[in-house]
Order: sequence, then C-alpha cells, then structure tokens
Amino acid sequence: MSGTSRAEAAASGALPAFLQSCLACATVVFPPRLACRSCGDDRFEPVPAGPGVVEQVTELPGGLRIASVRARGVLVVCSSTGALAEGDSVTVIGSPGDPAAVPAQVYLPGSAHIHNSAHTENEGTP
Amino acid sequence: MSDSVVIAGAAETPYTRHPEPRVTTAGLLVRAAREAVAAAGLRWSDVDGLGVSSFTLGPDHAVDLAWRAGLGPLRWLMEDTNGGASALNMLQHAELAIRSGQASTIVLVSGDRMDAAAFRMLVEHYNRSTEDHLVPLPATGPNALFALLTQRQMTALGLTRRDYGRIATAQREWAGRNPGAVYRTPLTLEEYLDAPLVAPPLGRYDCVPPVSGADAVVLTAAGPPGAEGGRAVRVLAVETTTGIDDQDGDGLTTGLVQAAPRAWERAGLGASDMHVFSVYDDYPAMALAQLIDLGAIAAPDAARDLAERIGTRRLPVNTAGGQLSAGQAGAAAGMHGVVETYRQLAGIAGERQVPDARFGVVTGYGMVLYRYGSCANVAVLEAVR
Repeated sequence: MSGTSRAEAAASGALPAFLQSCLACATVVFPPRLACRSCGDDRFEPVPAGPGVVEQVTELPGGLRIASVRARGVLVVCSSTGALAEGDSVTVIGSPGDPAAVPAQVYLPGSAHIHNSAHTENEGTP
Repeated sequence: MSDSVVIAGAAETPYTRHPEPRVTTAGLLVRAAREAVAAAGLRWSDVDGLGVSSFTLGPDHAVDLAWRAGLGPLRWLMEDTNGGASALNMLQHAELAIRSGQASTIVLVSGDRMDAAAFRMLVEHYNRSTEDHLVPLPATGPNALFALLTQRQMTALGLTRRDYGRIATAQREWAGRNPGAVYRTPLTLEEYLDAPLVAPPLGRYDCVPPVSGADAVVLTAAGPPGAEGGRAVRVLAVETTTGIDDQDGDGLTTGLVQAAPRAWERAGLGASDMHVFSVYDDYPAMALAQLIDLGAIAAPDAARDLAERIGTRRLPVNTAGGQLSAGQAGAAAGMHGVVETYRQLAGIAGERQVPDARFGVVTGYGMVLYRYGSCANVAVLEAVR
C-alpha cells in the first residue's frame, strides 16, 4: 500500500481516505460493496484514494462545494469548504479538510474506515 | 386467462403542499383507490388484488392497508419500494397476474403524506449509501447530485439553462389546465432564469415541490368491444431495467436505453407513434434523458430541438404539469404519469386534452444508489375504442 497519501493526510491532521479493492481481480470501487461486480469475489482490501481530479462542481446555499471527483478511475462525491474548479487536482481525504491546503483537500465521507474484509467479514467464506 | 389487460379507471387526490393534521398516508391511499374503483364502474368488493407503494405507510404494509380498507379476501398482494420506478414495477407484475388469471381486478395505489418532517426523514435515511456517504458531506437530498449530472448533460448535448427553462415553463402551462396541480400560475422564462440557484446550474424551478397526495389505477381483463364505454386503456407493454452501469457512468443514459427497445418491440410501435409522453421529471435533465432513451430524437445534437418542441407544447410531455408543477407526492410520483396518460387516452383530460390521443408512453425512474437513479421502466398504452 502506497504511503504517500497517508503521509500527506497525516501531515495535515486529516484522516486518509480509502477505496475498496477486490482481492481477486483488483477492481476498485466506492462505495464499498459486499461482492465484486467484476468477478463475484467477496474479499476486499482498502486502497488509498490518493489524488483526484474534479470533474464537476456545484455550490450549495451557504457555500459548501459538492464535487464529482475521479480518483483511481472511480467517480466519488466529495465536499470542500474552499473553492474548487473543474480540472483541479485535489487530495481526497477521509475527514473534513483544510480549505487552504495545496493541493485542495476534498472530503469523502465513509472512506476512512474501509477495512480488509478477507478475514473479518463474511465469516465462513474460505 | 386473458389476452389483453386494461386500465379501467384511475384517480388522483388533489395534491397539497401543506397537509392538514388529520390527513394520513393511509387515508390518502384509500381515497385514491376508492375513487379509481368507482371511476371504473366497479364495486369495492370486486377488488381481488392490491399493490401499494409508499414511503410513509409504515409501520403498516400492504396487507394492513387492505384490512383497514375493508378489502378482501385478496388473491394477489404486493408492496413495492422502488420509489419513482414503483408504479410501473407494480404494473409489470399486475398485468401478468391478470393475464394469467391469478387475479381479475387489481388496484395499484401509490402516495404519501409528505410534510416537511417526512421529507427530511426520507432524504436523510434514503439508503445505506446516502446515510454513510452523502448526508455527512453534508448534503441532504438529491439536488447537488443532479446539479452535477445536469452540468454533464449541458456539456454533452450543448444545452443551456434556457433549454431546461423551456421544459419547466411548458409544464407550468400544462399545470394551469390541471385543477389538481399545486402550481398553476404561468411561469415565464425570465422568472425561471432569475430564480434563486439551489445548486448551480439548478434553480428553484428545476426542483420538484414535495406534496401530499395519492394516485391509483384499476386493472382488469379487457371486456368485449365497447364494454368499457370508451374509458379503457390497454396495456401494450411494460419493461424494467435496473443498474446498467454500476453508478460509475455519467448518469445521462438510463435503463430505458435497454427497456424501451423491448417495450417498443412488444407493442409493435415506436416513439414517433406516441401522442402523449409522461416521463419522470424529478429534474428537467432527467425528462430529457428519458425522452432520448425512448428514441424521441434521432441524434444527440437534436436535444435543443427536443426542448424547443416540449417548450411550445407541440410535443405533449407531462400534460398534467408533471412533478415540477403538479408536485411530487412521494411514491405517487411514478403513478402520476400513469394516471395522466390514462386520462389523456380515455379522453377525460379536460382543458388539457390532447386531441385524438390514441397511444401514450409512461416512464418511471428512481432510486439514487449513490450518484443517480438506478431503476427505469416504461409502459406503452393504447386507448380502447
């Protein structure tokens, strides 16, 4: 597992973000699933979401930005209290980020606690 | 056994923005169901099948509603949870039940008492992924998601806010001819464009007003020619497709891209044969997406022309005002189009009647899993003359 985004996130005090990767075929998805759409396996491991690119962004009343971000090829829905623009490179993190950080940090809820399901979930699966 | 299944009657309660305290979901559902049965010229005791869709009927379910409403014994019972796709999902099952002789008279009813508290509960706890990955953004409700989708559609099809405004203002024109719609005052394009932005590019009039109400239809086997007095509408085809792209696409193509060709083949018809269109308009962009998937335009670059044809009402789309102007009565949103298409084809649509409407198409769409809706379905209907 690459430590780069973890180190970056840790340096900023933020939780790292993870996506879910199939142990059998390495297909990466988010939100996490119970079985792999590509191969049907039900064993997964977390992979750091790492850097992303903003594809679209909108702004809610009150100023929060909601963005569609592509990270590891997967489209995820993130938020930021700072300005974002289409094409921006961002760091996807698992807790609300620092709007002044460079590159901008975007929050992917529910991504900090994706765990290795090879042995902890679905007990009874060989 | 029957070769042909018809909608023999339909009803929609008036929609209201702010329901009185005594109004209940169960009460709305039973009112719509009873009015539909009466409109079909049938008795309550004729009903031997019931299908229900509601977000707020709990803790009751379909069998509780049947019992409390004095229905039974029933031979066919279902409850559908697929939101905007629930009406046509139930229609798909009910049509086969009557065709196979499992039931003779089925009422399908959808609706909700959707006050502010119920709406908040619905959008905050819509599903696991909403609770875990969207509400904590924090973003509540689908507006932000469909703002992002609408941006993608604007880029892909070369559309502007003005094009979406043509749809919203045309539906308001239709709603002005529907006494049951909550918003009937004409809406100008300038008012649409100047309205407060909810999530750019979406403004206030791109978003549906939650309302309380219920819609119902009654299905029976087709009688002998003329038996229904011209008020029966034949179900030619119903098709559903869910989950075409794992929520990792642009959301601009719906399951209709697969379901519609099957429905057209079964009906022996195509989009160009339709006189009335009722598409699920949770947002104007989705109305366009579904019309395109139905085959209403020849090429993607004709989307602006499509918006123009809707805007001038030369193409009759959502002729009761749709959700955008009539209101979104929770789970009834998918049944609203079925009721309206029935009324148009039965020739009882009043001031908004489309002349000589013989064929109509209805779509359902819904269930945002993460980034956009995952369920889509389509029904093709024909007036029985």
